[in-house]
Amino acid sequence: MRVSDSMIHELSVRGLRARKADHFEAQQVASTGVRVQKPSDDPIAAARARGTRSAERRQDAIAQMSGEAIDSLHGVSDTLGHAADVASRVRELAVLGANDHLSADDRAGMAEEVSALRGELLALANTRVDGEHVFGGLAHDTPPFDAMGAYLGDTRVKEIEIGPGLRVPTQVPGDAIFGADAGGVPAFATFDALEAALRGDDPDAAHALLDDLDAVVSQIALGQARVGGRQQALQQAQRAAERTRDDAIGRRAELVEASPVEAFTELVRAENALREAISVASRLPGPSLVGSGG
Amino acid sequence: MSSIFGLLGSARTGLHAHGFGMSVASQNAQNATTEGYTRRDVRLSAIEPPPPGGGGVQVRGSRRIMDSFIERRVLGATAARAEASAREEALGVLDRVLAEVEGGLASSLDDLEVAFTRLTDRPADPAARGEVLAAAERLSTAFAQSAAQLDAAREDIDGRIEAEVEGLSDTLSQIGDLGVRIQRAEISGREASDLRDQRDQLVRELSEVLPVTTLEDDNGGLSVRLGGLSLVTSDGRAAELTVAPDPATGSMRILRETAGVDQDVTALVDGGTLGGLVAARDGALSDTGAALDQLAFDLAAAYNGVHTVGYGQDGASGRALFATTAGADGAAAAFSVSADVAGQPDRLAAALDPAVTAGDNRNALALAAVADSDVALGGTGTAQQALSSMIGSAGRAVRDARLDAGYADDFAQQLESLRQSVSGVSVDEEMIELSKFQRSYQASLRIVEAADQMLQELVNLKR
Repeated sequence: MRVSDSMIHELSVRGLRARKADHFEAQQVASTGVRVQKPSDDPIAAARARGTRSAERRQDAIAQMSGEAIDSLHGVSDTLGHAADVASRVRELAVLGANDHLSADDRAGMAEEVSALRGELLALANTRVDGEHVFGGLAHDTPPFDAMGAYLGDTRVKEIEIGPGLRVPTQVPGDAIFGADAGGVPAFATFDALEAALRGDDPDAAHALLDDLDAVVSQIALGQARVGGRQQALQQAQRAAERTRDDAIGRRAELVEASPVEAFTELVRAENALREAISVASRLPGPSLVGSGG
Repeated sequence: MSSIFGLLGSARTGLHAHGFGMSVASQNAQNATTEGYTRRDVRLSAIEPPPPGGGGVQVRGSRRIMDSFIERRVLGATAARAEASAREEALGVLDRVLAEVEGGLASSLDDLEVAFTRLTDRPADPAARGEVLAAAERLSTAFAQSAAQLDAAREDIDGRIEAEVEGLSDTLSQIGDLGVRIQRAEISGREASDLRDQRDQLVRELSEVLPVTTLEDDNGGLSVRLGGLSLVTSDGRAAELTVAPDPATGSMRILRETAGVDQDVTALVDGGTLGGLVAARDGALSDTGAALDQLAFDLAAAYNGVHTVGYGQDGASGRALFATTAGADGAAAAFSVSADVAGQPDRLAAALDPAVTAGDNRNALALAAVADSDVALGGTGTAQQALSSMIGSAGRAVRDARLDAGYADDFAQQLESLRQSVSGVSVDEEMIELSKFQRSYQASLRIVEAADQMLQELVNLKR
């Protein structure tokens, strides 16, 4: 092939230009550690990385939200623990009050204690965790039980979504725990009845309330169990969300990040290629008849 | 005597011819790096000596060394290279619009989806409500900025099309004029290589802008065509090229004016810089703009559909969350938080029951579920999937343009090398040519010297 002077120079310029571009790109990847910096670097990876980034953010939010709900349910669980203690103590007082050997004064003293425990249970039923009345269902901004023990809250409970179409309740309904729902034993009315029986020095009436008091203790225990079940469900959801988030981070890293070893190797290769291109360019114009003195 | 004078006459033709050869070699060497220069060789022929002697050499002119087949292929390759290069440059904006950056479209959509998710846990929390509105504002800004960047890119392309076309009529006119001058020069027997070089260079420059084809007639006239339409006739008449905005879309169209009639030739412009600009504008940029509008429209419709059925903390319902256009066209630019809700987090409709707006998160759940619903891509994909699809499509368009540009550049370079190997100047070759003609010139001088001596001796003999 016949070679003109322009061809020699053009070849050199093009080679140098291409090697510089390669070197710049390798330098960018090595210094940032990112292989896909813009969609055109790898359109498929960029599109898939978008999906993983979105999943990463959503799952992180779900994990955080689940954690906060678990913390909130810890508070509910503690409250129900106290409520269970209160109910058990009231039941003990009922057992004692049913004893024929006690005096009227003894029963009057017990009635005072039952009254105080009723007040304590009402306060527990109207407990606020993180500013919300936890037994009020969706109506958590007002106390769910009035002084008479009537339920003013909402029977629907708050749920959070832990995945597409997957929801977990983060509350337990106060009406069921404290017997305000249909079919339940009303805790406050039972306590009131016991107080009245004790004040009336009526051991038989106190004895007759034992089954109802057992039911109140069971309702609270059942509530505790439900809270525990929801905590477990949320813990599973939190772990699953964290795993999914971490998987998404890993997949995204595989898609867009550069292997440090490969990036460095590529940089060294690009440096060598650039050095060679510069070396070739520095040898121009090379041996020539021009100036040979011919 | 007559043979000695014949010898002198012959030597004179040699001095002239070899001097001409040296000047051609010199011109070639001087233009070794001149763009568009085609090397020449010297055309000499022997003068047959009439009896009883004489003869010599005559200059028949110089000849441009070129291969017209390669020249035509170079034109096509130049147009293809310019097309891909212009397309690659024009589409670069897509990488910037759709890159994963903080505050960009993708991260803003993530922010909104996360904010709605967090709102489900604390529907009455002013901070959670405020974060939803802030994220909605950021998404609105991201949509508006993305749409503005795409619009600006299209306007920039229209400006470049106008600027490129502006000089074309002049180029076409020059090509026509040069054709006429070449015809006149060659008919009168004069050298027209420089004019041909100028014309070829103009045609090469033209092919960088438009995908033209050329055909030279026997008289040296050159016709230049775009598709099947004539831009320059072989007798030197050139068409006018102008631009005008499309009445329907506003995008710039390329018009060919002949005899006072404008003809839209945009569809024929599939190569050269103009072809690349048109392809970028009417292809990937337009497609991405439409996909962006559709996504904005679908998102607004999906969120509004859920939001309007819910209740704000003030117990009111029926409010849209986002304001946008009635149809998808222009939806991204118009996407904004509705005036009913903007700046008033308590109006976010997180509840489905107006009696328990503080604790009811059921509409917030429905709003958060929009992220997982097939609200985009014609009801077949989520908004994130639509965005991923947009990123993939736009990325492919930019990458393909880059690959096309690289391939077209390599191909054009190969053809240019072929052209150079035929028509390019090698200074070493010219040095040899120079040396060859110098020797011949010296030989002619020696003949003159010898003839002179012979004449002297003849004169001395008569004394």
